[in-house]
Amino acid sequence: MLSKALETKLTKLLPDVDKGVVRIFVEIGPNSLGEDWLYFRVVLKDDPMLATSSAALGKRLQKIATALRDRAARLNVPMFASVDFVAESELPRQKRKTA
Amino acid sequence: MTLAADLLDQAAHLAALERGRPKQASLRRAISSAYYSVFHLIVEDASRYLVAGSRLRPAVARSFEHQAVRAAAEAVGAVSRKPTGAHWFRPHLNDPISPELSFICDMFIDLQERRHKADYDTGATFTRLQAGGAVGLARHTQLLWPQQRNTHNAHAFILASAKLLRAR
Repeated sequence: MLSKALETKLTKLLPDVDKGVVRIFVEIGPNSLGEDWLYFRVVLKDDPMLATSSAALGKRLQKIATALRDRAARLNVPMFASVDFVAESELPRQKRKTA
Repeated sequence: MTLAADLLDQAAHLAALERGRPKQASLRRAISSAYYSVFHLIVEDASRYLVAGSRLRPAVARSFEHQAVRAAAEAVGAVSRKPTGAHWFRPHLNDPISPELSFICDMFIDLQERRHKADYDTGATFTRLQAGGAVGLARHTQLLWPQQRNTHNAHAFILASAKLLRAR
C-alpha cells in the first residue's frame, strides 16, 4: 500500500520535519472533485501556541506542510498532498501512541 | 480594512469562541472564512492588476471562479514540484518559482478543500487546532502574498486564474 509505505518513510523523518511532530497519519482518498488525494494528518505535541491562530503558528505549519509535500514529490507520489494538523490531546485516546 | 482582512479577523474570532468545548458551527465557519479571506485577497489584487479603473473592478472580481483559481494554483504547484517535466504553464513562468508563491498556491488548494469539507460534510468533526491552524495558515499566506504580488510568476498565476492563460 502506497499510503502505508509513505507513512513509514515520513514517520522515520519526523525530527527533521519539526521537533513537535509526534506522528503522521497518511491516507489516500477522494477530494471534493473525486480525484485521488493524499491526506497527511500531522499530530503535534500539545503546546500553548497551538491555541492561537497567529501568523507565527501559520509559519510553523507552513514549514511542516512544505517539507511533507516536498518529500512526497521526491518519492514520486503523483498526487496533491493535503496537510491537516491535530494536537495530541485532541486525538481519540486509542490513537495517542507516540511514534 | 479590506474584505480579505475582515474575513481573516472574523475567522480568528470564530476559531477562538466558546472556550472549552467549541461549537462545531463556529469551527466550520472559521475554516470557511479563512479560505474566503485568501480567495478575496487574490481576487482583489488580480482585479487591480487587470483593470486600472476602480468602477470596473467589482465586475472583474465577480468574474473569478473558485475552480479556475484552483486550477491555476495546481498548475503553479505542478511546475514548481517537477522543475524539468513538461507542462502547458511552464513557458509562461520564470524559473525558479519562489517557495513563497508555491506555498500560497498550495494553501489556496488546501484551504478550498477544507472549506468544502467544513461547509458540506456534515459527518466530519473539527477540532480547535484544525480551525486555528487553518486561520494561522491563511494569516501567513496573507503576509506572503504582498511580497509576491508584483512578480512575473504571480502575474502569470493571476492571468491563469482569470482564464486568460490556459492549456491549448
